[in-house]
Amino acid sequence: MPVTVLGWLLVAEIALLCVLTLVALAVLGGRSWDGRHDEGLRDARDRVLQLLAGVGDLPTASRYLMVLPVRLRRRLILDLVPNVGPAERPLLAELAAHAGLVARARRSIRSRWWRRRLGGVHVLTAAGVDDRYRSVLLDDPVPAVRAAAAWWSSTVAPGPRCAASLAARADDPSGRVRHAIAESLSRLGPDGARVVADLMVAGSPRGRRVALTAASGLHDPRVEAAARSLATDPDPSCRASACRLLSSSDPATVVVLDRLVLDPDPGVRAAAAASLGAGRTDGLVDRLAPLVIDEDDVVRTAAAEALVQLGPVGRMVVRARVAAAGSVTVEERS
Amino acid sequence: MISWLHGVIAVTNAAALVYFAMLGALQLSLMATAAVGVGRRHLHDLSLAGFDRRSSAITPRVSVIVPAHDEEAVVVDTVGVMLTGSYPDLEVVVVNDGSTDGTLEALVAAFDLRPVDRIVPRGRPARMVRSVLASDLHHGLLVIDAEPSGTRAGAMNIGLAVASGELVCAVDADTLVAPDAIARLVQPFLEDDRVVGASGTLRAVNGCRVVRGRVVSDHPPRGLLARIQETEYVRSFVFGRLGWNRLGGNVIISGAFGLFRADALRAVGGYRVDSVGEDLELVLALRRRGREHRGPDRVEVVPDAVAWTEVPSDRRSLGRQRRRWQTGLLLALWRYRGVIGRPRYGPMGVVVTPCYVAFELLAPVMEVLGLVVIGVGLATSTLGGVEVAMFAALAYGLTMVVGIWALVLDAVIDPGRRSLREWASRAATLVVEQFGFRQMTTWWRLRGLVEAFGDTPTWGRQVRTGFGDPTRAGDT
Repeated sequence: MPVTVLGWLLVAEIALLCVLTLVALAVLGGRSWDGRHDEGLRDARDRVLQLLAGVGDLPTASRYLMVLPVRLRRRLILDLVPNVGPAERPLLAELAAHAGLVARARRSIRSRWWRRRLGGVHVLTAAGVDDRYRSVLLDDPVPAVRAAAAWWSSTVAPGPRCAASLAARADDPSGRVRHAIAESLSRLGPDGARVVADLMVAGSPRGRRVALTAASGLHDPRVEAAARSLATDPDPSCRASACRLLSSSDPATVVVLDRLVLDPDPGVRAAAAASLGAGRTDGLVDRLAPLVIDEDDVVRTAAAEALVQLGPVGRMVVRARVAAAGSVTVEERS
Repeated sequence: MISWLHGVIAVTNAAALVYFAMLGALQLSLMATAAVGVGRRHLHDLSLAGFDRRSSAITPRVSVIVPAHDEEAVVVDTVGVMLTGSYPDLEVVVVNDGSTDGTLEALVAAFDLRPVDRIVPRGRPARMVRSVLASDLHHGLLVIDAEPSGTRAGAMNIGLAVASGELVCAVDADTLVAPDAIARLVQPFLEDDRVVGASGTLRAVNGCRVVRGRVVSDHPPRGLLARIQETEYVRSFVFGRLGWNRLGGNVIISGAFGLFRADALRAVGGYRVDSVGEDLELVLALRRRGREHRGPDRVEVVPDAVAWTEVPSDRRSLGRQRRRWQTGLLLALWRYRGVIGRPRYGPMGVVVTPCYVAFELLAPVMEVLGLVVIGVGLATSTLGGVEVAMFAALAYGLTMVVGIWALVLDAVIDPGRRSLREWASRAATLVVEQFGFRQMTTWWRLRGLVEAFGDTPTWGRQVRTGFGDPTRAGDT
């Protein structure tokens, strides 16, 4: 390669190195520039914590907060949210309103810039106010905003309307949004259980998965009834998830589980064995004993675990079955 | 004779230039994709602001498997910090892999363990289990006392046989996991069914102040070797893995800290016990299986899921580590040679594995070959001194460019972690490593390639002095 070409490449590389160094200085310098607010941020945080602990007053905390730029005010409030209990939440909301954050967030959620909409949703969630724009934000073109809106909706205005609007969007193309919907539905309690049960029975395959995920966080008889209807679902992962929801000793549930321990899919059989064990029904030993010599490791382990948890009788059955099978299928230790 | 030599040098020179041009193009592409990756992670984190994972009722159960062989000095800290982490449904399975020191006794004393009944599925792992112990204080803790398996992979498989989680996290006994790291690592699995594994970021714990397993102040390591490795880690995790990730082809999840789908892990038979690079082989196996069976096959990198680990602080152990890595790479790529260049395996087959062969496996060979040709070229006046100097500056400068970019991205991912002065000191190590360290590493890697044709190398004995000791010896 001629020296001139190498020379030009070297010049290009040096230029790139200079640019990167400038970018580095800008990034690190920007952080240092932000650092000038460190003291103010610390003071404001102390005042807000004093307010939440009941030893400070709102005007003082607000005054300290107003000294900071808006983004730092917002960050301070959002950072505190996970550590604030329901009793202190109204105080935080009042402070956010006092510091001008709520009014700004209401404007932001109508912005054409999605990051502003997202920031607005976060503040309104943290402050626990306003669900007027719920459906607009749940239909936002940006998945991050839709996910945040789902979360916001269930935090700010839980109830049947919220549950219904979330369930209607359980088919969202984005996995992040679907998970946010499942998470939100699981926190809605009985309102969530009703729509989750409906979704499990009549939803699309994607919607059914969202419902099954949400149902794992809900302990409601309606959910269990719906899970029984999924025992014949063509998707094995769906049947296995449904099995995990069937943990009661209800006779209808036991009938379904009896059928599922014979399922061709080992994952379903293992889940059914574990659920039967958790239900502690009559005749459990007879039901689980054949599974101890199942052809699949996971099923044998699940059945043996369930039997051992029953105590000495279950343990004896495991040993007897293993001996009768003529070979060691499951080894019980210690 | 001389004209023949001139011809050989000219051809080798041209081949080296083509190789260098391709390497440069790849690295510039990775720089761009890594930057996109960091940007997307930032936006992703923005969307999760205010979301509290601790109160979630639908998180999948995670089983953390900690293989421990003679880890008395560090294992209690490692386990303790995980048990007090922020993830709501966590099971910690420690496999005491035939330790000859007081590893088991330390665990029993620290966590008040007692023997329990536990079913272990039939097979090699079950035959090796001596007893299973659980804690009344920490319901998520299970300790398996096992016969020595001889390899980390064997111990991991014992843990896998007992683990009950939907997701399995591999953590080395000398690795400290940040309190929120597992929750961050789980996120890609919640959002995408196609994800089979996720990799976090490893940082050097040498130089950090650790109190009860928590890194309370994060300082650069003291020794030059450890400092260079710290910068290497940043380059590897932030630039390499994140860059490959955006191209859809990351094939490395560090054994010290990675999360996997448990059913997929069992379906490929767990870790290979006869492998030196079992981490690489595992990811290749998982992704190959995913492609062949239309199951999950994606690997995600989560740069802000952080764990700290000791890096070797002396030349001997560093050399052994690098030789082992290179041997492992060669054996893994040989075992999975059916994937290389096959469109059926997507970006992994078409782009990543060929690039690994060309720019990772053969890099030391090419570097040594280049130095030999330069030497001969200069001696026979076939190559001019200015030309050689410029080419060397170009080649070493490219490493600098990549390193600086990785440090910039690291500053964006974790603002405030390093002061301007510390950052400048890290940048300076990028220059220092070109003179001595780079050549040393090339030599070790070359030896690793040669050793791959001999007996399988062993892990060697690890001597730990504990996280609280600032003069820790590391791997010796």
